[in-house]
Order: sequence, then C-alpha cells, then structure tokens
Amino acid sequence: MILLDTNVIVASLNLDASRHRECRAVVDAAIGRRLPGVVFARVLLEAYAVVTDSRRVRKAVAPEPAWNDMEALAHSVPVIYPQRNALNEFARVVRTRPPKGQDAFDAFIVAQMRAAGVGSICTLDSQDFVGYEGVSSETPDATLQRFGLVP
Amino acid sequence: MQLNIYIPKGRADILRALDRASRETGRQKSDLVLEALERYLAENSRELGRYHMGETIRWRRGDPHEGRLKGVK
Repeated sequence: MILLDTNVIVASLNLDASRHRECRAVVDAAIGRRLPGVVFARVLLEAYAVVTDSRRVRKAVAPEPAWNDMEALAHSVPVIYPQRNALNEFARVVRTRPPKGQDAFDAFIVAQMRAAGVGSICTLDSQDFVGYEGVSSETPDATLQRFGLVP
Repeated sequence: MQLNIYIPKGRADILRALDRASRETGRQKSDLVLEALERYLAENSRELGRYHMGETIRWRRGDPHEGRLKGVK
C-alpha cells in the first residue's frame, strides 16, 4: 500500500502547481486502482484545510467543492483511520528517531503507516521521511515509474 | 466479512456465467465478484475538481493545527 500524502492531493487539485501533472496522474491511478494507493482520514482533512486557506494558496477553494473532492476521494480510495497501535508505534519512533516540535506530525504519520502496514508514502517532501524504519518515501514520478504508468 | 446478495429469477443467467467463469479460470467466485465490483466502483468514481489556486505557499504538516495552540503560554 502507498499512502498519498497531503501535498500530492493538494497539487493534484491545483492546476497551477508545478508538479500538478504527476500528482494528478498518481491520484487518478489510485482512484482507478492501477496502483495500491490509500489515504489517511487525517490527510484528507489536512488537504481540505490547505486548499480552503488563503494563507496556504493564493486563491482558496470554497469549502463545499473542496469537501466534495475529499469525499469523492474517500469513496474511491481506501481510507485508513487511526489505529490504537499507532501510539505504540509513535513511542518506538520517539525512541529511535526522536522528533521535535513540528516534526512530530510527520513522525505520527510514520507511526500510523507502520500500525496499518502501509510500506511507502508518495510525497513531494520525500526527504522528510528518510531514516524512519519500516517505511520508504518516493516522489510521484518514482511511484508512476514503479507501476509502469509513465506516459 | 460476508456479502449476501439477492439474485432475482430473471437474472439467474449472471450466476450461471459466474459459475462458468470460475470453472474456466480456476478462481473463486467471490474473488471474481470482488474484482468486478472494484472495477465498477473505479469506473464510476467522480472525477476530482481542478482549480487555479495559484502558487501554493510552503506549509508544514503541523501548520493547519497551529490554531489549536493559540492561548498556550
């Protein structure tokens, strides 16, 4: 399973994003089950928060269409909800690669991935996930190549 | 998990076709039904929107949560 990260979902919706094309291709492939993409409920909320926030994008999307898209994604791609074991996994992350401040949010994504058996994350910030045991990160281009989806 | 489906008499031919496909492919009927359902859902999923949001201002995963920390001293 491959977790679609928030930034990939946001760029897939934003025609003006420099990586829109490859992000959209990954999200569409996940919807079409051409790659085993999953989302976390939290990632959908983060994407919604970003696209509706004019501090994060120049032209924010109105709440209703933004949520319609998150809902459509949730209907098409498996959604994984937080699991009790994620806290145990987070404790392991704290012991092996202690996060500080804002890094805790990425670290908890890793903990959730490990708890749910999600092996990799497709993200535009693959460096943020280097060095965590049991998970790998890859760019949308790399994901598309891995599944033979490069045009 | 189990899914029980009512098959009306008039559509019994679908079940016969499923039996045949299962015999010919050597695959479980439930596996074939799930595959067909998965394909149907994927083909009928709504296309996501596309918006001109302009430049995305760099943000970190914790940023959307920052409002929750207001008032922490």
